[in-house]
Amino acid sequence: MASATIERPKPERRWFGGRQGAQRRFVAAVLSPALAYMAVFLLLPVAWALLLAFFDFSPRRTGSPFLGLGLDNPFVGVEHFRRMFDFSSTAPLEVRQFHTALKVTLLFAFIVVPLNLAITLPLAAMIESVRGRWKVLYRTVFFLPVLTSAVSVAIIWGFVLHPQRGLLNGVISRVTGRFTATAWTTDPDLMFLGVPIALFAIIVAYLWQDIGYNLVIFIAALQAIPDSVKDAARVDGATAWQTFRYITLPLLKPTILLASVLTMISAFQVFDLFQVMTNGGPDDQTRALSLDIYESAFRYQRMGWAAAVSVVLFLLVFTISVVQSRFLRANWEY
Amino acid sequence: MATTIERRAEEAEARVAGREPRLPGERRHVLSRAALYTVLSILGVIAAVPFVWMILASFKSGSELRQIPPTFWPQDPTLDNYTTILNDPELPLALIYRNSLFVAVTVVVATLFTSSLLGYVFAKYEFRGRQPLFWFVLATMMIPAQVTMIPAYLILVQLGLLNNLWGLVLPAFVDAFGIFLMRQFMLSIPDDEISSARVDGASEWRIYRSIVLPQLKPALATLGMLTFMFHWNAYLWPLIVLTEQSKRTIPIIQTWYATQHTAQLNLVMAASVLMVIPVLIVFALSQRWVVRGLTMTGTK
Amino acid sequence: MKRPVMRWQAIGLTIVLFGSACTFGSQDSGGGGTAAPDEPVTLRLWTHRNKSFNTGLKDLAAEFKTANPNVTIELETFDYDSYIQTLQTALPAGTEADILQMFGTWTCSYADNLAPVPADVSTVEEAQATFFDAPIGGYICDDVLYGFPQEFNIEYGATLVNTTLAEAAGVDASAGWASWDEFKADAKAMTETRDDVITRAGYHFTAADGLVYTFFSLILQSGGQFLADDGTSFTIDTPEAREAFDLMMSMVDEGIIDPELFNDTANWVGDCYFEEACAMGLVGPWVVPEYATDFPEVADATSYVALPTLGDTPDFVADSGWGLTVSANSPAQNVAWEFIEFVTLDEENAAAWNAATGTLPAQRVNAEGAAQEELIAEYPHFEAWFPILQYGQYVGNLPDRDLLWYEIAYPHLLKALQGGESVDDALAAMESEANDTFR
Repeated sequence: MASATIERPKPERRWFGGRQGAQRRFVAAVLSPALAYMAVFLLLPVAWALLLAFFDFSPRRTGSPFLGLGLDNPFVGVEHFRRMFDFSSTAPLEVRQFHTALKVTLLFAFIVVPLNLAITLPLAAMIESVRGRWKVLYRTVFFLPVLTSAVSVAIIWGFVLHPQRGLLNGVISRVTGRFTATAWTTDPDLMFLGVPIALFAIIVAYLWQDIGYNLVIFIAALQAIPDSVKDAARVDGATAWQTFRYITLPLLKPTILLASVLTMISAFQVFDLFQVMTNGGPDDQTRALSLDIYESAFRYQRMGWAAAVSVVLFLLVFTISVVQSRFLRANWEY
Repeated sequence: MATTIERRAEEAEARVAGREPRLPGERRHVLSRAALYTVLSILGVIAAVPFVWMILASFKSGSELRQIPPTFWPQDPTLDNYTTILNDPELPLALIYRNSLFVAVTVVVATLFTSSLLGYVFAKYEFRGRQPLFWFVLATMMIPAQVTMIPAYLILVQLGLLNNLWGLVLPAFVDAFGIFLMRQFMLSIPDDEISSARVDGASEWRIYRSIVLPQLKPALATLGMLTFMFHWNAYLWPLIVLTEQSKRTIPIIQTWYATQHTAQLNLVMAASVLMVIPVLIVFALSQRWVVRGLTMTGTK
Repeated sequence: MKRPVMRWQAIGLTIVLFGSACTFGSQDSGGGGTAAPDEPVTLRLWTHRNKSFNTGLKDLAAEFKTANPNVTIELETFDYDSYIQTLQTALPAGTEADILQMFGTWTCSYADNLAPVPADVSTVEEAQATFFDAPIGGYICDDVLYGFPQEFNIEYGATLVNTTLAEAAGVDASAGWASWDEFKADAKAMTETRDDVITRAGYHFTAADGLVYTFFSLILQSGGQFLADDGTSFTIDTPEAREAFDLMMSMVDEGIIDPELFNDTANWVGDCYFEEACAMGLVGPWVVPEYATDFPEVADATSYVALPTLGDTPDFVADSGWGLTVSANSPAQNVAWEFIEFVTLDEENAAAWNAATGTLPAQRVNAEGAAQEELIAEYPHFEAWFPILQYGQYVGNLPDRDLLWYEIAYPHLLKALQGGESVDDALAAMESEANDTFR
């Protein structure tokens, strides 16, 4: 069924004929400004960031006329990247913070993405199997958090998790009958399976906010599966689970691939929740790469170093996306 | 058009539903249905609680919010929080709404235009380098914001566009995700109409405007809603670009306000509710299109 | 959000970019301009956003205009966070205003782009005689004077005391404390717990600023130092630092405060105190007006009481204060200095600004006599601070004060108090990381 919609248009000879010139002009008129725009707004900054990564650049200092590089902002070669491999305990603070941030971001992404898919896929199937008005209601309820800005989400969850006045500790106190004031987001000793609880708090808030998005994508994909296919399976006596496992899931493969790659890419870049909910704390346990880069670049003005870290983030995102696509590759045709 | 699609979908559902009792294993089916609704409702409540709590908290007094243990339903509902923030001279809400609306609406209009046009070209025209170019557009999605934001900031400084809303708008004119979405959607539109319009002598622009664009409605609504939401809620880049209070957009003001009034969550919550309302409206208007829009794209 | 965010791209056209790149940082910062007298002059003044600060400055600018009708001062305000960012990018690029409000501690890092104070306005010695050591210290870089402070920024020396809560706990804090043991006993009496969890902390000193100022001030009080005289290295691992640590640790051990529940992110001291989740709290006097409108009852019950000392004198570390400097690029520096002289050196104007903004005076004369009485009448909570102002020691021209404070000292101090790091490790780490900032 997928091939019916993704089929490539077959150019007919007649199409081109005398109109070929007009079409060519149209394509050129649309594409050239768009490509020029992308070159200026995307490729140029990427190239500049790459260049910055090889300089000890701070906008505070006076550099040469060319992009402010040189002079007091000297060329340092691969020094930034070399220092990233200094794993000794005497490494400079920003290097150790980078190591922490790398770990936090990887942990976050590799926990969030599978959890996200593990929640959204069954949930979408469940919602899709519900009728009419109910379906719309559930869909809306689960999509509401998506509409809420990450800042609101952070504030709301900050309150839910507040040690003395938070809802969570309130419920625990009531259930256990003992006043509990667990500092979920600020106690550095709270760990679960070696992962800081504060990081889990952000993961929960992020999942809460984010699942609605993949949910809609999966519901859309499920709706595109013709009822006749499922009906046929049901008539053949397949259970709901069997239908899901052997019919729905394989048909959803391209969507799962797309959703997992997009979720992964965005998980690596989450900034607002980290900044507003914990601002990296406690003890840098939630200092994500995005926050690390922002702090280095805009709070402490070490833009050269920050650019080098951002290049690492880029390489990471790129590599993981490619591996993911290979790993999950289905008949995904363009 | 939406209504017909919707009706057709509901009819289909009704048809399936009507046939259900005749299927084998009826009782087990009813039980599992009940379980399904229960599970969904429980999860729905969990998903809704923080959101509902935000709304409820905005009607509580400051002292009630500081109560230990906390309350869920307002004991003594009040509108004071809203009157306070609406009259706070430090919080020029009208101005900030205008800033956010300007950014979100401008970007939505620009993105819908560029995405539909480029999506159309990538879907319906044959030209040399189409495939690599499309892959290039897709690949740009992988460039993290953190990579471009440092040079982008330095460029803004040089252009004197710091503290200017155009600094948010200009870089958002072309959206790779939008192009992708539009192209996928476009693939499901048959070519016949386009070729017959050509035979009738319509210009390429005219075909785009009067044949392609009307058929894109669900996709345009979907992309429009997502883009609006994204820019309405955008945080990092506005945080860097907008340094003057009067130029800032809603999420930045929201954090600023929250840090100014950490001790008054009642006010912060009222502000949060006011800030989410426009997104809710846009969502309500486009909601029925979104799933259809996504269904017909190649995201399946 | 799910949309991969490729929109935070650069702005700008290639042409503009490469055209403007030529001006990048190539500003000549030497040209000290002078405007002819009586010629109409408009001076831009950059300041951080703070309602009373800005109104105070506007009033003085209006007054200045009546005396000098040809001069117009235009205020441009920025939010605190973005003000730092703006200064850091504007100064090297040469796009800053004529007069720049500076926090003293920042001044020296911008000295290259600032104009030194002309000798006929004031010399270093004259300035040191006029202003308290701590506030003026920030404006002197390598024996060159770059501006004048308007206020004395102070974070350590006295603590907020909620007298209602004190009374309820049978504590009379009005007379102060003769020793830390007395202080701790009272703080303990005001602490409340439920099921062994602190619900009201006796004394909150574990916010970022509170903790760092406490630590460095206690080092000074026990006769130590942390910054070498030439200002190029730190020695933090000292017996005096250990003494300071012991005192702080004893307050945690005795259950006056729980640094896991009360720190910079959880129950920040201002919130905690005014929400009455803390009975006493360490934060500068600027905090009271900020909360007074929302928590009038607590504000009324608030008094500042001087803290006990570790040695003989209440020495403390201070962070300079807000003041005014002049851009080296300004074409009318002479007029700018006239205005700054009018605002900061004129005793009455300086005192009027302190009264309008609720800040402690930077000028020595304004901390005594009528000016002092006037300030106390309006801000009773200032009273405890006046006697100790003279003991303030300027923190020193650090390479990056925020980095030392918030990324190095605070995290290690807190971690050690929480028990996540030994005192030895914390001191050693702080010392080496602090010295790294000189790189």
